[in-house]
Formats: sequence, structure tokens, C-alpha cells
Amino acid sequence: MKKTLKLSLLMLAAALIFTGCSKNDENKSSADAETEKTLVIYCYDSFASEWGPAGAVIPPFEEKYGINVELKSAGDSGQVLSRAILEKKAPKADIIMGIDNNLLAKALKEDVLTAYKPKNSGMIPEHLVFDPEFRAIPFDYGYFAINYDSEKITNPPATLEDLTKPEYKDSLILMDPRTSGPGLGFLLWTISVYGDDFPAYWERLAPSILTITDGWDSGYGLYTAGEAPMVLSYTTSPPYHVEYEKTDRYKAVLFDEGNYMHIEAMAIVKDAPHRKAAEMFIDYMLTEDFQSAIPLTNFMMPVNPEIELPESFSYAPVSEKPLLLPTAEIDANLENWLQSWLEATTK
Amino acid sequence: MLNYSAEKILPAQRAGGRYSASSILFLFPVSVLGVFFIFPVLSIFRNITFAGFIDTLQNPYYRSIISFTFLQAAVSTLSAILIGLPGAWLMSHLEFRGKRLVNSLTTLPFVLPSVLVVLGFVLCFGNSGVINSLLMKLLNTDKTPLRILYSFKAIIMAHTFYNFPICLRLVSSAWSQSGKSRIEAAQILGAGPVRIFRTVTLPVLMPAIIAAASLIFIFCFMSFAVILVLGGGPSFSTIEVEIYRLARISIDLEAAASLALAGAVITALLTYFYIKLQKKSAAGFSNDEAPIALRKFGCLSRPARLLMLLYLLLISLLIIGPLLAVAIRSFQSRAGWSGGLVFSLNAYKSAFSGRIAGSAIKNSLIFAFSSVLISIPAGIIAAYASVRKKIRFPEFSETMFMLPMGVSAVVIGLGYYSLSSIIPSASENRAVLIIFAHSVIALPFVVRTFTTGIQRINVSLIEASQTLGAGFAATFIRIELPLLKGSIISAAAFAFCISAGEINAALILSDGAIPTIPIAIYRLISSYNFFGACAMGTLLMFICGLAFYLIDRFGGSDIF
Repeated sequence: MKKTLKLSLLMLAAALIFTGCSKNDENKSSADAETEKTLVIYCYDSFASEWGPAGAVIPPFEEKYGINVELKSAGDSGQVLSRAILEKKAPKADIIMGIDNNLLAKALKEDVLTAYKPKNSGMIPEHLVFDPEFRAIPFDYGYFAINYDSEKITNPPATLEDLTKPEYKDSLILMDPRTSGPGLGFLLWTISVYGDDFPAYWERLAPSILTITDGWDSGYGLYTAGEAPMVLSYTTSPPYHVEYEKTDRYKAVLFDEGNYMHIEAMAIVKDAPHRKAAEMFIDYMLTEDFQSAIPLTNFMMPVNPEIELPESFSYAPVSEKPLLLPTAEIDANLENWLQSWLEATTK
Repeated sequence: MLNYSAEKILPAQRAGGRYSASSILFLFPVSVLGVFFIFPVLSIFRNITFAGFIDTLQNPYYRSIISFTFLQAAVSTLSAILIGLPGAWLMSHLEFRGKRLVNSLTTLPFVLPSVLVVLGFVLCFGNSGVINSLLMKLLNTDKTPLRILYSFKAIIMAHTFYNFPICLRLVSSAWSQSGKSRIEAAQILGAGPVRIFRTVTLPVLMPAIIAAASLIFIFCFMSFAVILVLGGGPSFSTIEVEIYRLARISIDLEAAASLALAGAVITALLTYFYIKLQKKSAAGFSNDEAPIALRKFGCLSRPARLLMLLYLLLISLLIIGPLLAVAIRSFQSRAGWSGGLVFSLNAYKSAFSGRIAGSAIKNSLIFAFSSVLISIPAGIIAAYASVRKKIRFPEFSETMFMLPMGVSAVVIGLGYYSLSSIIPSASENRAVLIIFAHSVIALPFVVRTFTTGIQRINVSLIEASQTLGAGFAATFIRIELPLLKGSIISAAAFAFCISAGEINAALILSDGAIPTIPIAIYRLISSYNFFGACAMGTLLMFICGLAFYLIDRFGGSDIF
């Protein structure tokens, strides 16, 4: 009887000791790997997926530079950063993918990134460079946009304010900014347009909202299932339906106030085990080989302006008024904003 | 009839020298739990500071979130138990055509990823769903006749749909052995049906009902996507939503861990209380009766038949509706520039044309079967050790085995990174990691199923066998194992579908390199291919339905 308890405790202790041992292993394996010319990238899952960009962009890089890429998908972009933070003391990744304007501040606070200005960085349009110190280097971007079903809505809204009209009662599906990237993007959009008055806007908007979903997945699924005629998504969503379903039924609309941007960046991890290879990959990321795969696999716009877009991308409108709040401002206020948002939406 | 309670027989067993053997056996479930659950979770929990934890508990916002989480879980549990009880009676008392099929169908909601469950629900009960469209045509109106979704009641409905099969399975196997002769004795003594139910049947069912309720409660306590989407927004936020926000949006791992710990402490306390209660109600009862004879459906009186048909119709609508909606969607695609829907096999072509489909199916099957093979023996040992008090603090041990359900999946996911970083990244290692992680996630169900099963075994049978000279092992294999057949089948079905539907561990522990069917579904959806995701989902349901059917059939159980 007592033995059992003791033995159980021993097992637990053994499990805990594992934690201690793990660090030594990490250092050893990374030393071995250095000689083998490898590069470890943590990416968000849809990048590594069969339908994502990885299949088109990783093999050419491996061939060209003779570097073996270990692509590890670590869930969504928040999880990618969390993983890098958890491994801070003994980094295993060289590059993390999916850092955006909102995550950058957290990454800087945890000091997990290091700066690298790619040789060809000049080609990136200035308004996309959200980190002038190049700790986060953009590889694609898009605009959040209200998408609508043209079979059901003939008179789409033209402004954020239009969305509050009674004709759109129960017509809009949004995402929760506490659990979803696009959801957070839309909240920041309303803040960049309405400033401190944004809670009042959300109160006016409430009757138009059918539901607020946990993530883009369920929200967009409900929209294409016909449950509501409008959804928060990207300007680059309609090209999917044109390209793969041969229909232009689903459209994205630009708003007069401007559209909030979503810029995705890569970053080199501080004390990365394979710094050289990581720099080569960042340089490669801006070349045509990588950038031309972005539109039809990631459904975003490549940052390289030279890339010729596929025909279906003519259905992705380009905003002339891109909106983006500064990283520092988001970092300083986000918790308060989310709290005010909660109060406004649960009234 | 003598009823030996578990307590009475123990001194005799204690005197024997069998502890070392059972202690060593008990190490198996404990070490699996330790390495694949406790280690990853502690690696995250160790970031918590005492002050941070106290801050979390004192935050009024978190408190209100916790109390709502509690409330919805309690109401959902009650509803799932009430809906499940008639089904449990039906499955344990009646013989009817298609019973195996019904039984296989009930566990299916478990295997679908939550995105597809939500989608199926909306396609069926949504404002533009099948039911409302039909009603609109019938009533000739453009207004939505039945606004079911986006409210508190929608949350309860979806949770009921998800969870009543737990009650149905656990309670029906108890009910089928509820003591025919005792009921007859009560009848002879003049007791009416209500009195018999209250004084004879209910006490017999109580341990199983409590076991089911505890599982359902924790499941609803941790619910996330269903609550946000079907509730309609942030007015219905649960603790898991806030943990998600802290871990993935605010990247405040300490605060996320603190909140997860608070949730885990609450569920642990509650589980402990459930287990105590269950033990109390199980004492003095044992399974010494022949199973209830199954009646034909036609033998029932007309009102009873009508009532049963109505019930079957209700649960079919509730279960089959959303599942069927997903299946139907998988056979549709868009046609023409206007994007209307037509029948087509395109979804299957697009989902299965790539490399991923074949390996996803293979991996899912391997993981699911292996998880059954590991979690069943581990679960039997763990349940056996605590029911027969082979270990100290049996309630504590049972509570620990329930915790994989009680700790936030978001936090366990973070913990998996630590687990993953200490294992060399060869893919065989990864597959083994995933199998064990899935087994641990299934353990709460498996252990609960077996504790109710073992509690029902009459200890006098075991004593008799041992008096006659049969050893511990011989008694277990010849006497107890056959009596546990029903529990083994239920536990296997739960373990199979939990593994087949799991995504968190499979994705993180493999670094995304070992696709399973749920991972394929998730990836199809993130690349906009919802039709393809429905096709994969339909395949998953088909595989699991078939597996349950086979488990039922070749398990040779006469209980189901």
C-alpha cells in the first residue's frame, strides 16, 4: 500500500527530472544539426498544410542552397510565438512565422527576436514595414473586409456606419477578438476609425450582429452555409471562390473609412542555432520563387510588388486607405480596449 | 440475499500478500498519466506565482465568468441526463430492429471536430437551416419561424446533443442488471411503479448516473466553440475562452496558467465530491441478478409505444440532424457563376486527391485502435485499484485520472511543447507519444466506465472463487472480466472516438507532420474548402460508426 504511493511519487519525480535533462539534450542536438546544414522553422499550421504554401516554396529552397528545412507547425500564430517564448532559454527554432503587428509587441517584451535587414528589403512597400528595425520582416499582407453574399444583398454597406442600419439586422457574423486574429483586427479597425468612441459604435452595431464566433473557421463556414449574408474576412477571400468554385457570388467590399491591414511577417529567433541559414531563407522569402506562391496557397497578397497576380485576384479590391495602429499603442492599450469591448457587447 | 459491500471483504484481502503485484500493475496507469499529462501540465503550471494566482481568484470579472461556466455546465448536465435516461431504459429493456445502429450513432457526435459540429447544428437548426426553410415554405413566410440558435437554450441543446450518449451508455448497462427479482419482490409486496423506481431501481442506477453526470459536467465546463458560436457572442463567455485569450492573443502564459489552475482546482474538488457520492450510493449494492429479459417493442402498451417513438424521433432529429447535414453538404458543390448548390462528388475528389488523405486515414485508425489497447488495461487497473481499495486514498487517485478532462486544453497544448522538446523527433517516437496522449485523454471516460462496472460485481463471487483456491489472476480472468464485458465495450467505444476526433495532441506532438483525419479537416477549412472538410468529416463518421458496430457485434455483448 505504502509502496504504491511511494512508487507513484517516484514516477512523478522522474517525470519532473525530465524537465531538467531536456535542456542538455537540446544543446547537443542543435550542435549536431549545425554541421548538417539544417534550418528549423516554426510556422502556423495552414502554411505547412498540403494546401498551403510550404509544398511550393520549401523544396526549391532546399535544392538551391543545400539546406535541409525542418518545418514544424505549432498551431496558430499565437502558439508559434508561445512556443518560442517557452524555449527562450535554449532556442530550437531559427525562424518563426506569422508574427503580425499585434504579436510583435509581445515578442519584443519577451526579447525572443533578433533584427535582420534582408539585402533586398528595399522592394517592400514602405507602408507594409511595420517594424522599421526589421525584427519582423513582412512576407504577405491583406486587408480585413466585410464579405457579402451578392445573391442576398444587392445594396452592400459602404462604411462601418452603414453596417448599423436596420436593413442589416442579424446579417453579420463577426469573430471574438479574444480568440481570433481577424476578430482582433476588426476591433482595432473600429478603434482606428472611432478612437475612444468605439464602444458606442459597437453598441449601435449590436442589432446587426447575428453571432460572434470563436474563430474565422466557424464564422466563414456559417456564412458560406447561408446562415448570414455578411461576414468579417479578407479582401482576398472572393478569389478563392472564383478560382476553385468558379463563382463570383461572394464579394468583398472596401469601406470609405479605410480597411484595417493584416501583415504577416517572419522573424529570426534570438540566439538561433542556424543564424546563417535563417538569413538566407529570409532573403529567399522576398524573391519571386517564394512570393509568387503566396496568392493561391495562402490567399494573401505578396509583399513583392513585382509579382503578377493571378486573374482571380482581380476580385480582391485594393484599399487606398490602409489602416494600421502602431504596435506600441496596441501594446499599451489592448487589455483596456478588450475590456471596454466586452462591456459594450454584453450590455 | 446477502450483499457484501466492498468494505467488508477488504480485511480478508489485505491479509494476503498480493499487494506487491497489484502495486506494480498500478504503476502502469500512473506512469502513463504522469508522463503524458502531469509532466506537460506542470511544465506550464510552474510559471504560476502565488501572488498571480491569488490575483486571478480575486478578479471580479473572472469570478463572474467562472460562475457562468458553472451554471451552463450544471444546466447542460441536468438536461443531458434527463434526455439520456429514457434512452437508457429503451436500450436496456427493449429488443428492436436497428438497435445496434442507434447505439453506434449515439457516440458519433464525439468524433467530429467542434467546427463541424457547429456547422452541422447551424445547417440543421439555424435561421436559414433545414428546419426553418421547410417551415418557411410550409407557412409561406420570409420570416424565420423558429429562432432556436444564438441564445442560452441553443448552448444547452448542443451540449445535450453532445453528451447524452454518455448517460445513455453508462446507465443502460447498469439498468440491464437492475435486479429483476427484487422488482418482482417489490411488486408482490404491493409497491407501485413509482415507488419501485424510487426505492429499487434508482438506487441501483445512481452510481452510473453520477458517473455520467460527472463526465458530462466537466465536458461542458471546458466547452468553448459551441458556447461562443451558438450562444451568439461574448455575453456567454466561459473560463476556457479567457484562458484562450490569455494564452494565444495576450500571450500572457502565467495568467493563462493561473486561470487554468483555478479551473482545474474547481473541477478536481467537484470530481472528488462526485466520487465520494458515487461510492456512498454504490455501497450495499451488487450485481447478483440475472440481466433483465429484453422485451419486444410490440409488447408495449400503445401509449408507451407512442411515447417511445416520439422519444426516438426527438433524439434522431437531435443527433442525426446535424450529422446528416454535414454528410449532405459533402455531396454538394457550387455550380454556375451564381454559386448555387448541386449534387456532386467534387468535395470527395478535392479532399482525397492529395497525398494527405490516405495517410490521415491510416494514422487515425492506428491511433484510435492503439489508444483502445492501452487505455482499456490502464483504465481497468486504475478503476480496480481504487474500487477495491488496493491503494491509499482511492478517491484521490480517481480524481487524478479524471483531470485530463479538467485542465484547459489550451494549457495542455502548451505543455505538449515541453513534452515534444524532450523526445527525439523521429516520426515513430512522435506516433507513440500521440497514442499515449490519446490514451490519457480517454482515461477519464474509461476509468469512470470501469468503476461503475466493477462496483456492480458481487464481491461474494470473488470471495467464493478465492475460497475454492483460484488465484488472484484466475479469479480476475474467469469471473470478473466476463462480468465487465459491457463496460469494456462502452469504454472501447469512448476511447476509440476520443482518439479518432482528437486534434490538439496530434497536431502539436507531431509538429504537424503526422496528419490525422481531424487535422485534414482543420486544414481543409483553413484553406476555404468547407465542402472537402465535410467530406472528410463524413468519412470520419463512417469509419467510427463502422468501428462501433464491429466492437458491439464482435464484443458479443448481450447488454447492448
